[in-house]
Amino acid sequence: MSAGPPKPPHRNPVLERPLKVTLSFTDSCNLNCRHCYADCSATPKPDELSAAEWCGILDRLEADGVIGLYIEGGEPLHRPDFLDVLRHAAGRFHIQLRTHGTLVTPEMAAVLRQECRIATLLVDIMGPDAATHDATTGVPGSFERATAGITAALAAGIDTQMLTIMTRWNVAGLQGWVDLAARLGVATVGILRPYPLGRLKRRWAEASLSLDEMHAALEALRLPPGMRLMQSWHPNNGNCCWQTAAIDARGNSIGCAYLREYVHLGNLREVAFLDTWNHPLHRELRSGAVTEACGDCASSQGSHGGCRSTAFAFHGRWDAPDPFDRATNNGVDLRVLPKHPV
Amino acid sequence: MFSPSIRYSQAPGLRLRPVRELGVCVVFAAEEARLYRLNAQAWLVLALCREGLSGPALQAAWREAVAPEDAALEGRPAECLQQAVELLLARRLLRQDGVASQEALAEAGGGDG
Amino acid sequence: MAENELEDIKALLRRGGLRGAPEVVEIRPEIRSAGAWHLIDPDYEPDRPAQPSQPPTGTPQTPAPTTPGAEQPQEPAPQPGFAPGMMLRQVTYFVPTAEAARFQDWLFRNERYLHQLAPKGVTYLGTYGVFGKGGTYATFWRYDSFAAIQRMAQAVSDPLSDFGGFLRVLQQYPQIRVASDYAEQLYLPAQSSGLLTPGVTRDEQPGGARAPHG
Repeated sequence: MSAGPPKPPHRNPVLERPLKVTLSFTDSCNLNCRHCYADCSATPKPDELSAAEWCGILDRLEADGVIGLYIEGGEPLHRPDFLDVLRHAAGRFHIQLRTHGTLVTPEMAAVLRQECRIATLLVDIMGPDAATHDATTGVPGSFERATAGITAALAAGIDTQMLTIMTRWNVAGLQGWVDLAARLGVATVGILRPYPLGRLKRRWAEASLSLDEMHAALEALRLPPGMRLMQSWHPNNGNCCWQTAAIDARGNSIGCAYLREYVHLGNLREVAFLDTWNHPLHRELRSGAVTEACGDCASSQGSHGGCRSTAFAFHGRWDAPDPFDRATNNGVDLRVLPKHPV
Repeated sequence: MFSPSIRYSQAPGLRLRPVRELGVCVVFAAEEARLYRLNAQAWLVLALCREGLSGPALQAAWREAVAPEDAALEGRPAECLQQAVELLLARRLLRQDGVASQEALAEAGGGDG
Repeated sequence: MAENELEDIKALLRRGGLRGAPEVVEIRPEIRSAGAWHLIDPDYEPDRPAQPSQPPTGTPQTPAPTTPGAEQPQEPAPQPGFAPGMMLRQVTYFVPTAEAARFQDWLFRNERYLHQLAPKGVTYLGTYGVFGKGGTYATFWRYDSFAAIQRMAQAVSDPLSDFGGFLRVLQQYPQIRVASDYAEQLYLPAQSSGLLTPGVTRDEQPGGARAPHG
């Protein structure tokens, strides 16, 4: 006799092997952002994968059918051996590189374009001006260097996109941020939800907005003609898990970079990547088996239930509704992070 | 339409990643660092041209592959092949090169036109 | 070309891959949490009618006008043996009062897609509140063959099916507190005595029931 309700069925498309993997290359960075999800240090930790280990993993990923890499950090370009790894991947994978941009000089941009053959550079700019951005990064001058990095990347012919994380610290400047992107010549921008991870988790009450405030900010934006906005709120709240895998700087397979504090599927120094892909928890995460999903987002994104990281952060269950979606928020105040959800 | 003097082959630097679960093939074009999703018809053409095929040979190979399902094409198999080739050429996933005339003549004589 | 690759492609062609036109679509990754790729070929699935002209998002209060009968073929003129529906299915269930507004709003926006996207031989007839029994609803379906029932079951279990996706969302609203909160009935035409009463078969229709136009 079953005690509880029946387990929801598998809803998301099923991939036997992943097509793309996020590499959280390092937990080191030359900035000191107050929202840093990786809680970065100025120097790499000793247990981070070496360049040789990363190259070995890339070979394995290619053999396993992975065709795309989404590389982030920390700040990947902060580690001196990163370009060795990136060159190893060049021409074999579609590469998206996320950076804070301060290290993208014209010379670096040329290397990224010509030698490393990256497809897209995603640059985090945390506000419309130096005051907002530098207050977030903790490093005066970082705004000037980051925007110069965008200019250099665009001049080198790299598809360059601008990202920001919406918080109370920058919400008032979002329109200015869009206008800045337009002035820089950026055609695609992404506004990302905040995640209660790393340092931002510790300052959540200070930083987070209510869901209504977030939607109001998005709805008030006026995009210049031709600009493409990527955002993950309703009706674009996808459950990307079905096509996502991620490896952190120490070689842990973690499902998604935003699950870094919740999920450990095995360390690639000890187990094969595909074994972690087939880990029961990873299969459950990918399944889209959720108790509540938004039909509109399911329709637009082809997946069910919204982000599993924010669902878990607020409810402590993998099959919980995602409170960042209007349709499944159920009265959750996003400004209040539950103390013991996990 | 498909000349024996034209040889169709995959562009260099392609990586084909079949996604059988979804019925598509994802193609990474390294030269331009772009990704494409091909449905079965376009994938078939690209796969047939892996080693390079003349126009008539491509037509023959395509017909052989789709013959059991020909009814589904509702009398437009040639049109579908033409569309697939044009799409792949436009995206630079397929390239067409001229072949030496003797080779072309020999193939034209032996092919099905 | 590797032989197994060609065989794989042929298998896809057999599964509906020849229905649409050839397609080469650039994947432009979109940032959600990580990068998301749009991988689904909308023409791939067998038994899947065309996508709605507009996704249901963005126009929740203004459903596009539809021409009566445009989505489903016209019914044939009644003939001897005509039955309004080969089979009817009624699903009765309870939706909590707190969910009623959202449920009804979802129906308002999406019932048309349940109708438009239904597999061949399946007709969504509507969802109704049971008068006098607050919180009790009934959804009605019509099938024109047992194969249609099978197609519907396949769509529901197929994670790539739009129709299945809508139906799975619909299925999330019912709450089963006690066994009587959920009931299903399959109704067969009374004239199909062979199916209603095993061993009794009408002479002119060996095997019992037949779809009215098939």
